[in-house]
Amino acid sequence: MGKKRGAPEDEGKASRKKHKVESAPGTAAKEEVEDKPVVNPHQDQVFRFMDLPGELRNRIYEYAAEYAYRCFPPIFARKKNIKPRRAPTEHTALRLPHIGLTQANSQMRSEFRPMWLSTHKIPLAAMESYLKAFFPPAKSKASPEARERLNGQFSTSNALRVWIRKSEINDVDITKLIRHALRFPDASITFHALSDGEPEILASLQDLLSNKTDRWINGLRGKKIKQVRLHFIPGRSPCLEVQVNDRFATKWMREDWMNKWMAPGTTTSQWDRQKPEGYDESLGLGEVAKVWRITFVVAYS
Amino acid sequence: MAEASSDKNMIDLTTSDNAPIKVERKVVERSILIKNLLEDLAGETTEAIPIPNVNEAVMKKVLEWCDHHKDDPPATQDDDSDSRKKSTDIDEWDQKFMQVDQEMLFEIILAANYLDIKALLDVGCKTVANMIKGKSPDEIRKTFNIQNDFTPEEEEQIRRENEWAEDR
Repeated sequence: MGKKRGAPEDEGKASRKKHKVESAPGTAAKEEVEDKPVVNPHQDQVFRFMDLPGELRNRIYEYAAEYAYRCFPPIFARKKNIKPRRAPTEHTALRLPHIGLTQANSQMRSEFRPMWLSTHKIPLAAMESYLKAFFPPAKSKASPEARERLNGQFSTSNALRVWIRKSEINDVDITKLIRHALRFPDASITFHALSDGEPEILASLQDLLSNKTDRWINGLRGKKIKQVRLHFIPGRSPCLEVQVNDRFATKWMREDWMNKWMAPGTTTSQWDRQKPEGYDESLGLGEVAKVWRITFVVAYS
Repeated sequence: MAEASSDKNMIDLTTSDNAPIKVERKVVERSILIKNLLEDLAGETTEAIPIPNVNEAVMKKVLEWCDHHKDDPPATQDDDSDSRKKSTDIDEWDQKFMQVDQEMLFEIILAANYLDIKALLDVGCKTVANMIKGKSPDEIRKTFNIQNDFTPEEEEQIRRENEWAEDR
């Protein structure tokens, strides 16, 4: 798991002060309960958790995070434009283990959420929406105070497990994940699959995310590259499609793109012939190209 | 301070509320703090050992745990890191032992930390972690007696997280 933030450990002895209780909106998702909790006849009483020294709160958070890591539920990407037949209920909604601990109180959220986020295992196909939902945008209209508070609720060296199911990556946009890796260079993002997953696919995706070649990074940061997509169609070579914004596209990219549209039945090997020798390598994609056919297409705005 | 026992296998303690407690050395040596102290003193004192941070009721409860576990192998650094990976693993006796009121659980955790009894501290912390497993934010607020103090921006962020989960 990634670096954990947790509670400050240099807090003094436990205070005897008690807090007031306030009922709160119960809109949050409930957690998964796999193991039966220990039945304690005194459970209805108050436990002065926030009066524990920070180091002991951290110890409890670590146990909670270990459980969340081990018991993180399988998540499946929902196909776009297909809405569930009925609204999720308490029994059908996805329950992320210990999410309640991140949504109870601001201090607890700041202490636990950074290590809790590192327990997540998200399928690649659901990654875009996940990152949007769980990581506030780098640029936002919130006040500096609000931004600081939100930024304190995740770690820049977060760990993230990306789950690969080949059936879910026949056409998936991974731009947001690549930009996330650029935004948080200290984050540990790792790819995982069931035993039938091809190790070279996982390794090549790891290479793609670790690509620090200036030309590639500048292309992403300078908005030259609009999208990076994976196409994994059974029976065909896996394809990595780099969409280049119209005004930055080169002549050969336009010609290749034109060829594709002029002859829709052709395979990629027939229409990406214009790509200069060594172009993939110049972007730091040499290793990736050993596994994925890399095509550059023009993103006309 | 109270006069200590002449029996070297028995140790005298005085709790924060000045209660004298006589306990078998092997039992009390589950506390690394006391074990180190006894080794440093090497039988040079006849006085009871003061335990200023733990009262009689809590100390008796802690010693009950120490007595049950007196023959356990001593904890090592490796054991500590391994045990952390099994968050719900609490043996049956310890589960029953921890069925105390929340204030006593709180005090046992503080005492285990102060007395440096790692295994007991782990059981206490695991009990709390298990206690909040599956609880909603509202239930956690009630259990820990804390307030919902989220800003509108945080509420919005939480709403986005829940919507994502509900959409799966």
